[in-house]
Amino acid sequence: MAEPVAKIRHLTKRMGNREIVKDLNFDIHKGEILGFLGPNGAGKTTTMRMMVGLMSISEGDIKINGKSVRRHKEAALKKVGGMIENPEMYQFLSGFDNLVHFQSMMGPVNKQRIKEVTKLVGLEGAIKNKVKTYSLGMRQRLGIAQALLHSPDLLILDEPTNGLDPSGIREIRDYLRRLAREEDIAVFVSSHLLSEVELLCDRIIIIQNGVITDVENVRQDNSEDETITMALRVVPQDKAIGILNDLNIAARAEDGRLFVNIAYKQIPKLNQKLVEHQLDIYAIEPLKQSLEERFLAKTGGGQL
Amino acid sequence: MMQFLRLVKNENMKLYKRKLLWVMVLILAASITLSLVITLKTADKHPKDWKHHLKTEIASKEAELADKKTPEDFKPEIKKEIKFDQYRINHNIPPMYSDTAVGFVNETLGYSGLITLFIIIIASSIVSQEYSWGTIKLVLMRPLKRWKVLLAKYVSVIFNALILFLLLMIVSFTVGMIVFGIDDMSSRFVFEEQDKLKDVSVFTHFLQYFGSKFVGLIMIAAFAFMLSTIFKNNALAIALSIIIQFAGSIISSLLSAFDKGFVKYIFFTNTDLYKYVEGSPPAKGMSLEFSIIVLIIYFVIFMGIAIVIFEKRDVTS
Repeated sequence: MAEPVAKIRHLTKRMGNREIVKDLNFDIHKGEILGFLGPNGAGKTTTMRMMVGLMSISEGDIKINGKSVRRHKEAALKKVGGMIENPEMYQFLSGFDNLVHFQSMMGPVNKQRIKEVTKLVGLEGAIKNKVKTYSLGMRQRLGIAQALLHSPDLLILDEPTNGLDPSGIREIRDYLRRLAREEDIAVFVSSHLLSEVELLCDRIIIIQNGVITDVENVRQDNSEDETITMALRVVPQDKAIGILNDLNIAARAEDGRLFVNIAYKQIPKLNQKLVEHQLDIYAIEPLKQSLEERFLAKTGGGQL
Repeated sequence: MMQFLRLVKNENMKLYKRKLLWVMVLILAASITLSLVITLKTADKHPKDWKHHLKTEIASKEAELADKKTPEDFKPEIKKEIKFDQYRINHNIPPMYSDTAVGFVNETLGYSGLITLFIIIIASSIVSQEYSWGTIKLVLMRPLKRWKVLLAKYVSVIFNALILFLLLMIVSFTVGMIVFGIDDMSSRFVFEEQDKLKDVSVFTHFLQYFGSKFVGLIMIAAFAFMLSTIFKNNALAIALSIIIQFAGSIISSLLSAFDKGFVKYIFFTNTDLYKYVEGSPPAKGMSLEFSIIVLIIYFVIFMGIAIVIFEKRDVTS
């Protein structure tokens, strides 16, 4: 696998005696949307603040494109764009002037690039208006636009869909997917909403009380040899059990369904056998434990 | 360097796109207009033959001195006036009548105090407002040194102070020229330096006056700027800076009355350099060089504290 865009190693933040974030270790790869999931107060924002240089690092380090945030902050942040918490922009300036402001902090003003990012987030119509006239959704989009100005390799967004309506959330989701796919940007997104990250992200890190408790792949393709659990709805059921036993597959009946543990590559064969015996097949589906169930199991019924 | 100029330009943009500065410019313009109205209403038209006029003035003042009814306390002041009048006649320097262009500029010089007040307000809020707006997060996550951001803000404050000073001078001179014409201009300014009368060209005088006021402004702005950075609160910075700016000389003269040696090392005892041109130093053992060195040391301390705190502090909401 290619070298990750960001490497987080033993990252720790102490404030007074409290450890807000403890020994975090993870990588963020190109073209990937990595979710950062955890209840409020788990240390998500603190971690992100350290990643963009707003907070000092107590221990450990963050390397972005191989450069240490701790020691060479300016070099490390060259290719990082971010939005931490609410998209607070200058209300008395137009969206355009806000972009000019933040762009000129990094290099000469490039109107072409401002146009590009404005188009990307769909704000062309309102960009000359003052930000105080913007809706929350428009501000979020302007926030993403300013983060994209300098064509970053890593985009860090803290709760980017906070306070948006469902259509706004969908829009943001679509932008981010497109960015990751088309521009090969690594996107790191935090959220306290599970359903949200599940839809958006490729991979999810779960953080609780400042510690990573789990890393999950959301979109996994089953490998041929992997054993998975399938749920079958077949009539008559006892006949099906007999057939399965002949195939040396243990089956368990529950709620009118049959559950079998079976190798992925064996699924077509199983189907074939059942058809041969002229059973009525209503469904054969993988029993996917939803992320929510796994998450709740991990966090012990966790309160989000 | 280009990057730094862009940062200063950013700060100016944020200042010009808000109303605050424009309200200040308006107040300044209104003050100049008020001065003009007062001058037109009250000042008599200045005499054609000023020498003759001064001679009759001196005669009447001497008569006043001889008069037994004149209180003793008034006499030094009258004597001083006679001295000035005599000096003008001897050196052929017409008085600075306020209904002349130069005289009018001289009348409005005092509004530099108003500019100082405005600049205190701007310097006190330029850092803290980024915190209250929440924009500080977006500002400080850029790949540049924090001290550059901070210094650009201060440079922008001083730049705009300079603009306001120039504006005051140019506007009042232009107004004076239009209303009163350009003839009858006194080209030299007479003042008393430690009991000796001297004269300089008005240009030098205005430069000395504004220059010394500007140094004071740089200092009080640095002070306000530091407070704003430390406390992230503009009200506190404004209040403390205004007290020191406008009550500082009273405080230091009170302290020096007790003959305390440390008074001359307090920064606001040293901020008014114009005292070395006209008047006398506020405490014993002070000289222009002394004050400049003290001010430089204080300036470095103020900016140093602001930069160290700004560099080190975590940005939290």
